[in-house]
Amino acid sequence: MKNSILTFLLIIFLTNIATAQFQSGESFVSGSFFNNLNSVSRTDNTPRFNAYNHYINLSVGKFVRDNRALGWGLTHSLSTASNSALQPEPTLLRDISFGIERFAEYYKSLNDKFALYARPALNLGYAFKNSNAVEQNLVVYESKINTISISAGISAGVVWRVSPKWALYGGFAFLNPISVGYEFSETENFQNKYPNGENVKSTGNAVTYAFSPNLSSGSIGLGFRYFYGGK
Amino acid sequence: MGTWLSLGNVYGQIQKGTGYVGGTISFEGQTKKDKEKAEALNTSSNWVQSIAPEIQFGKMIGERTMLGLGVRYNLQYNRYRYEAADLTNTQLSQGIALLPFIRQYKTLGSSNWSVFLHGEIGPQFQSVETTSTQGSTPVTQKREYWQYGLSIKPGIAYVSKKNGWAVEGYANILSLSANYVPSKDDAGRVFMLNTGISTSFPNLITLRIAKYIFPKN
Repeated sequence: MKNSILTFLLIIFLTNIATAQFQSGESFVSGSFFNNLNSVSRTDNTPRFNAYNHYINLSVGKFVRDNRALGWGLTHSLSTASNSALQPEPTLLRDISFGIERFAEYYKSLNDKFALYARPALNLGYAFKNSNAVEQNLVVYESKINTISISAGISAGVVWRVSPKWALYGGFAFLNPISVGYEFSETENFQNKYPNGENVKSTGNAVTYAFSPNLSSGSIGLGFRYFYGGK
Repeated sequence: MGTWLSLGNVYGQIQKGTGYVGGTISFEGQTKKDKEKAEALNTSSNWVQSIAPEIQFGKMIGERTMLGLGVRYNLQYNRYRYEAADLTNTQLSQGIALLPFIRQYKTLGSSNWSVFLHGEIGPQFQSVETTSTQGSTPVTQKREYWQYGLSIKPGIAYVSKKNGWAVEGYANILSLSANYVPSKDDAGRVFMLNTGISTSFPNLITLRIAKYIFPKN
């Protein structure tokens, strides 16, 4: 099934290549980034609230043939939140992840400035997450979850070559059919105590796998790319 | 195959008599174990598996119209075991649906792309069996019911003119679905109607693989 999907995308993107917009030998560095800070504090006694998150993606690659590139990518994300209304106050760090990916890119030119691309990729990721459940401002439990996952996917989008050195990328279709993950976690239960007053703690292990041939549009991501080398 | 190629190029249509087999599958699972640090006996384990295959057979009865029958099956199994209380809960949920369908095709120019409108209507049989075992006394509950569904959705297909292999997806741009669960025992009748129109890029499309079997002549 996966082979057929790959073949399908290859057929679309490799047939009828009119002009080689991306030439063999060109190298590139590309990146995308977002960050977000939200802070509410007041002089009266009402609770304060802070949230911050960011996402960074960096990739490097080289066109091994006209309209075909191979490369490596790194992703990192961080999310923190504090909310003094909750008791006991949950850990500031909510989410941190690191990922490495190996990707290939196939292009089909639309005209001399725009092209479509398909990008199959293999990902290896690690994520740490503090997850909690809240009931009427009381934290019921907090789990520290570590996840290691491997996934294979394809994304597609449109690229606008603004100048010979610069291009703008926008992804609009994402397919992540295959994923396998291992997870180990530690949970502290704040409302379930031993007779000596200590919170009940437990550990967990999980293995997950999924095959789902769903194409999603996700949120449209934009990225920049700088080209160097080549002719 | 040659016929298809020429017909496809000239008229932008699929030849009458073309056979069709298509399908998709998704599955996922999880195995999880939780252990209490201070009380080793307070261990629980959870095993979840689900699989949902679908297959469709059809035939072009005209240049643009296909009639066919689809079979959809889903299985979900969940097993939870809590050692300290010697408790095991299992749930097995299965459903099978027989869905006759009609499709109206429109080939986009002389390309490999076609758009189609897919309408299906049919019964689904669902059974849910729950077993709870504490010690050595299992308590089983079984619930079975029929429901009837109707849905119309647009789709897009990429068909290789060489060998008939295709990738297709339904889009949820326009949808209409109705579900009817008849009254049984003390449970009441349920009628659900869902409609929606959206101009945004569809958020989720399930891809399916298909094969168009062109008649030899």
